[in-house]
Amino acid sequence: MTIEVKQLSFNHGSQPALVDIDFSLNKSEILVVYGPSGSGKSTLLRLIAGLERPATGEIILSGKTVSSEQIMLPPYNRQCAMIFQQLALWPHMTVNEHLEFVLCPGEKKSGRLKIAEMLRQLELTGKEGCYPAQLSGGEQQRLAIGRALMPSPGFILFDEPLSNLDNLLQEKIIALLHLLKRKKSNTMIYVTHNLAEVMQLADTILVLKEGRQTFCGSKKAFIAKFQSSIQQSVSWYTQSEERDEK
Amino acid sequence: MTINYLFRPHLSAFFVLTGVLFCLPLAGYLAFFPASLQEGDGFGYLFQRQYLQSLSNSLLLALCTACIAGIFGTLQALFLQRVRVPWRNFFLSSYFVPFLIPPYIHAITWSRGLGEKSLFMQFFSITESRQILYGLLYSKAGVVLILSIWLIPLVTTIVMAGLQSVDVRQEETALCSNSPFTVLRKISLPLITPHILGSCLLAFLFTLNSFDVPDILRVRVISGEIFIQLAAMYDEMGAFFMSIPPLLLALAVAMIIQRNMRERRYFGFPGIQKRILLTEKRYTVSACIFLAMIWLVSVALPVIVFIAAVPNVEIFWRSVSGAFDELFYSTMLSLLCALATVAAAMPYAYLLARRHPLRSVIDFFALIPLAVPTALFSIGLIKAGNFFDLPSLSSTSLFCLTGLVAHFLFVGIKIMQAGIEQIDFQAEEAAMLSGASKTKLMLHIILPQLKTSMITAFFLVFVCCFAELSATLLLVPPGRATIAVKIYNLMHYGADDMVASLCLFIIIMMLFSGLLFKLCYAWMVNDHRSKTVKL
Repeated sequence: MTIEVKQLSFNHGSQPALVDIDFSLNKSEILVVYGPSGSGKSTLLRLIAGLERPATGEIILSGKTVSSEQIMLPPYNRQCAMIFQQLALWPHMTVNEHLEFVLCPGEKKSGRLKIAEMLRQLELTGKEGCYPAQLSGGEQQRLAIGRALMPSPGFILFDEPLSNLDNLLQEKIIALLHLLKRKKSNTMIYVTHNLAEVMQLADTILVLKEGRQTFCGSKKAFIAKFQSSIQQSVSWYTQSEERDEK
Repeated sequence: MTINYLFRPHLSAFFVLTGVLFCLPLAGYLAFFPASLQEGDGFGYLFQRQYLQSLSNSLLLALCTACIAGIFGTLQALFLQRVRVPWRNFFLSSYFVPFLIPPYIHAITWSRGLGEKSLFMQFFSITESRQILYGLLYSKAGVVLILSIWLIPLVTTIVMAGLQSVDVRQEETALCSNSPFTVLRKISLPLITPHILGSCLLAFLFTLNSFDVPDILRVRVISGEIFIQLAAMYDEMGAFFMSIPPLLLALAVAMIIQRNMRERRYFGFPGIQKRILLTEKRYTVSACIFLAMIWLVSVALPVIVFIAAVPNVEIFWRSVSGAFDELFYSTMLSLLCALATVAAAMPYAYLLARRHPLRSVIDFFALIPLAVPTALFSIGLIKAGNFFDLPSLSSTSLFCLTGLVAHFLFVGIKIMQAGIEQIDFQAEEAAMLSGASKTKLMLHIILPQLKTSMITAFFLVFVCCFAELSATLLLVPPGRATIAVKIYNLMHYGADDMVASLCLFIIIMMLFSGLLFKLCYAWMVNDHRSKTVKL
């Protein structure tokens, strides 16, 4: 379950949105894509998921080219799952129907046990018949994660999933992601503009700025390179905390 | 989001004033009820064989048209919004054209296209085949066909608004584990079911109210019966009692529409985000064939039929100049009506968009004049005029104008509401906090952002008024006639050349006005974009 991205470029109309992105990711690793709004983070995820066709370059998943100028494998054949900030739950489907819908066609009959197990893991047992509107924020978030994990994807793509959550819920979800990494050995790409999330989750970090890759490397290398700016933001945070306390 | 409190007293006053005015026809109609009861057993009208036949015809036509327009309109919307189609912009720009052509012109097109001397009929040498085709057209099937052609764009518009409101991420998440067709079937379609149902019910109401197409194709329907009872037999009591079942049905359907659609939009404005799901060749080919067929049948056919039917340019111009007064009157009446509707719809739309506590009531009451059959609506207005002893008013075009504005107010409200919902409420609050007066807020914040909605509402109401026949037949003052009435009369006198010329002229006029609207709309959108700072 490796990801390789080679010289990837993408244009929004005539405007370049991503230029020459290059990175590779090993199995069970978490790549955190970090950058300000409009830097092309979500576009990169959409390209990997197969929701957009690249202008140039290649995306190789588990050794197989899935996107290039000639090849474009449809999203449902890529073994990718995606979790959005807005969750994108289907309001007309119950919890059970959500999980059933994403099962592979061959698994539909034997899926009951799998669904029950997933519900147990997500602490959603007893909520099978509930619609998304009847769930709490945390339950909705867990349902979105469960829906993504249900078809046993090789790759999970997270598009700023914690942005709208409170601190307690954020911590719970981050713990859940670490658990996933250990138990299921999924390869994950996580998009964020929050430095704390970068530090908590990343094995590898990719920094984007205005559609261009400005850094790609380990957490150590990232800290070494951006030490001053990280310190600045940490000290600004500490100072503001102190000010608030006073 | 709550209503801007500064506007509340003014809007409430406006609501009471116009609400009374627009409910006048219904009030006039209901005021007539006790008098009718005293005159005798009016309910006997409801059990006459001919009446029951017309009622069942109307219901059958409305049901079939709603289903067919619903299926074809939804398919067209899905093809335009979710399938990779070549010339997509062309189809997107022209799918609404059939609605611009009045339904009676569609009926005349088909009766001419399948007429004895038509080019199409030359292919059928056997008289029996011609008779079968002719018989099919002059039947309920023909009415359903023509009204469906006319109403498909309406359904498409509402379903497209639904598709535009679906969160693209909901489809993309599903795409990761399922094929695009399954996503369309199990995610997109269930999410837009209220829009499909709402548009079908509106098509049902439009068909129930339709009087011109069934009359041209010689099918007896309830709105025609009411009209004949009132205008030909001068039997007001009969007309009153006959209109009770369609009135109750219209009110029930209006209530279902309102409950079903709730806060959902009827109109969507073109978005930037592309949401093509089906890119395979088989879907592209199917979509192209479908869209081209619809275009050929509903746009190209009327143009070809009337060009072939007009003998020469001289007759064309003579007919047009002969009907200049009616054309001018219709155009002016429709323009004034569109202008008045936009002005009247604005406060209502604002109340609805800003979630007024009474929004459900307002929504329902605005829908009633559109839902109620126009013949019945016109009777109510005439009765109200008589009741308040306003003969001077009823002999002017103001009477007709009031009726048309009330009838099409809902169209204006829904378009404007969609526009206002796109305006950031916080922008209004920011303006208020910085000391802007109500007038300044309206002129500098709301109206500039509402230009495209206003012009769309203006254009659509203009088109609807121009095509309206039954209301104008009853409400136009003595000595005046709209072009629809003129064509209708000419058709009954057998002046085929003049009818063809005028129909061709109206089609050209409507296509030209559609083009003009499109250019204005594009200019306004570009102007807005160039002025908007990208944040």
